[in-house]
Amino acid sequence: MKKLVEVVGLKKHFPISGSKKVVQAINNISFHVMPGETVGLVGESGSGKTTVGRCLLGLTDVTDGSILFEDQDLAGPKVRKKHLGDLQIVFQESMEALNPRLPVFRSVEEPLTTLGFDAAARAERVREVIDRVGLSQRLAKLYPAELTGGQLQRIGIARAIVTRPKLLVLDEPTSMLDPTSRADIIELLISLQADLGMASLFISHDLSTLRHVSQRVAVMYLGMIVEQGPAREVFGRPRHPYTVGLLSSVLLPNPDLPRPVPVALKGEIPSPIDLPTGCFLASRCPLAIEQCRAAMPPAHPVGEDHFVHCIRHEALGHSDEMSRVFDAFERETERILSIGARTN
Amino acid sequence: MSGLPKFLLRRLAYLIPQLFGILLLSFCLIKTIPGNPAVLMLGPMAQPDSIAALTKRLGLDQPLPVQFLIYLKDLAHGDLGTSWQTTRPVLSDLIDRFPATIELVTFGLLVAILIGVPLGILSAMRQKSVTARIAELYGLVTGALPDFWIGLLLIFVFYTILGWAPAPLGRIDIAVIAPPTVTGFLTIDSLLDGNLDAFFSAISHLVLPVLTLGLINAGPIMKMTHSTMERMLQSDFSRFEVMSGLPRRLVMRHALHNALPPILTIISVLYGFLLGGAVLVEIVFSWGGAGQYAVQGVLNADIYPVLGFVLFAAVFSLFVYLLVDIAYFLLDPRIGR
Repeated sequence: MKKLVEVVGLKKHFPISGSKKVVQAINNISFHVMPGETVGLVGESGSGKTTVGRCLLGLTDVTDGSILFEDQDLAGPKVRKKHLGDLQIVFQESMEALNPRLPVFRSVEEPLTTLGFDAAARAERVREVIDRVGLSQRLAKLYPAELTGGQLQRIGIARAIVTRPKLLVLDEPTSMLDPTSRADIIELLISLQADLGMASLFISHDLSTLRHVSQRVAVMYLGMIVEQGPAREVFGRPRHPYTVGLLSSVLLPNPDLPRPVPVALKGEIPSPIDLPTGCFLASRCPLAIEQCRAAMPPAHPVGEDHFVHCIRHEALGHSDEMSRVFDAFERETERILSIGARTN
Repeated sequence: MSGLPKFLLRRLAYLIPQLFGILLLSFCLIKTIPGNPAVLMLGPMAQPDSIAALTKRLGLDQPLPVQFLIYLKDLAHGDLGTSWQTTRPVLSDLIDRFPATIELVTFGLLVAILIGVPLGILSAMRQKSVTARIAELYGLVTGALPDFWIGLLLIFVFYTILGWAPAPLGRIDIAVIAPPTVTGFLTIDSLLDGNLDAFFSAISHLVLPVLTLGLINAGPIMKMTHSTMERMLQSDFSRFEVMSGLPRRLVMRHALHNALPPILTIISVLYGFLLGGAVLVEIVFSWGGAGQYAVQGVLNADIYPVLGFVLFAAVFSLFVYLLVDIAYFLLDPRIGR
C-alpha cells in the first residue's frame, strides 16, 4: 500500500534571539503513516512531539528534511494549497482553539469557506458533523464560553473532520479533560476512525490512551525518535532503554501489581540547546558504554517494521516478570478506559 | 439585544453613588491642603478681625461635614460656588473652559489612535520587521519624553524656525472674530456659524498641541495593540484560520475583533486621564482650558474651581466608561447575557 504521509529527516531548530545557538526541537526524524492507520507519537513534555504535528500542518516552517503527502513534497509550490482540507488538526486546548467571538458553528464552518462550498452546502456539512460528534444542533449556536470542556473538544473534532481529511493530527486532545470526558472523546475518535477511514497521528504523553488507540507508535526523546514499531510490540516488549523507563514510570492504578524492574533513568533531560554528540540518553542510561557517547546510534531493525535507535538494545534483558507487568498494564488500561465509555 | 436596556439601567444606577463618592473624597482631600483662602484673598496686609469675618462669611468656621452638606445643597441648585480668583461662578468658568480641554484632548486622542493602532497591528503582523523595530523604539521614546518638552520642540521647529504654525497663544487668532458659542468646540461652532476664517484659525492653533498629545499618547495605545494582537495572532484559532487558507485580511479582522476590548480600555482610561493630564500642554500653548484652571485653583487654595473640575471630569469619565461598557457589550457576546 502507498504511504499517506512520509516524513524524511525532519529537523526543526528555533533560533534563540541574541545568540547564535538554536533550540534543536526536532533532530532528524523519519516516520510514515499509512492510509487509515493511527500512529501514536509519545514522549515527555519538551520532547518535540507537538512541534512534529505543527510541522506536518505547516503551522511552523521546517528547518530541514521533507514531508511527503501522497508522494508530493508539501514544501513544493501550491502542494499545500492542493491538499487544503486533507490535513487537519485537533488542538490540545479546545478553548483557545476556537474564536471566542464566533458562535461555534461559524468556527466549524470556517475550513469549508476556502474549499468552494456554497452556504447551503456548508450548513449541511456542519449539521452533519455536529450530529456525528454527538452534540445537539442547539449547542452549535452558542459561543465557546458557554460550552463545557468536553463539548468544546467535540466542536474541535467536528471542525477538523468537516473537510473529510485524510490525515488527522490529534495534539494531546484529551489531556485537558477529566477522565469521563476523556473516555468519551477517545471512544468518539476510535469510532470516527472506523467510519471515516482517515489516518491519524495521535500525539500524547499518556501511554495508556495511546496503547488503546494506535496501531503503531513512535517514542520521542529530545527531538528524535528512539523507537518505533507496532504498538503491541513496543508496549509489550520495548527494546529501547528509554521506552522501558517511560513504561515503568506509569503509575499503575492497582497496588497488587508487582513493580517492574525499572530501567532507572538518572538525572535530568539534557538541554536541547547544547545536545551531546552521541546518544542523547547516554548521560542518563544505566546501559551506556563509551561507544554510545561517540555517535548517534542508527536505526536497528528488531522485528517487522520495528526499529530501535540503540546499540545496546540486546543488553536490555527481557525478563518474564517484566513482560507480565506489561501485560497487566495493558489489561488495566483497557479496563480503566472502558469505564465511562458507552458502547453503541 | 434585549439585554442592552437592562444592562444600561444597571450601569446608570451606579452613577449617583459613584459621583457622590468621588465628591466626598476630593472634598476631604482638598480640605487637607493647608492654607486659609480668607488670608490669601485679603492679602498680606489684612487685619485678623477682617480675616475672621471673611472666614465666617465663607462658612469656613463650620465643621467639615457641615461644609460638605452646604456644598451639596448648593450643588443641587446648580451652584458650584464662586472662584475668588476670577470672581465668577465656577459653573460659567468651567462651561467656558471645559470644551477647550475636551476639544484638545479629543483631537489629540484621535491622532494617538490613528498612529497607535495601525502601528501596533503592523508590528504584530510582521515581527522583527523594520516596522516592528521602529514601533518598539517609538514606544520607548514616547514613554521617556515628557509631553511639554515635545510641545516646546514642535513650537521651536514649526513656529520659531519654519514659521508654519501660529504663535502658541490660545485657541484662535486675536484678529479673528470667534464664532458664537454653541458647543464650545471652536471647530464645530465656526462651521455652524459658516465662519471659515475662524475654522481655519482654530484648526491651525489646534495642530501643534494635538500633535503633541497624539505623538505621546500613541505610545501606550500602540503597545497595547501590539501585545494583544500578537497574542491573538499566535493563538490556535488564528493559526487554524491561516492553515485553512483563509485570506490574511479575514484572519487579521478576527484577531483584531478579539483584541479590541483591552485597546478600548486603554483609550478610555487615557481619555479621562488627559483632561487633567494635558495641563502641561495647555500651559505651553496658553490654551486656557479647564486643566489650567484647576491647577491655578489648587495653587491658590481656591477650592471651588478644583471641586468643580473634579466633578466635571468625573461625569465625563463615567460617561466615557459607560460608552466603553456599551461597546464591550456589543463586541463581546459573553458579557451580561
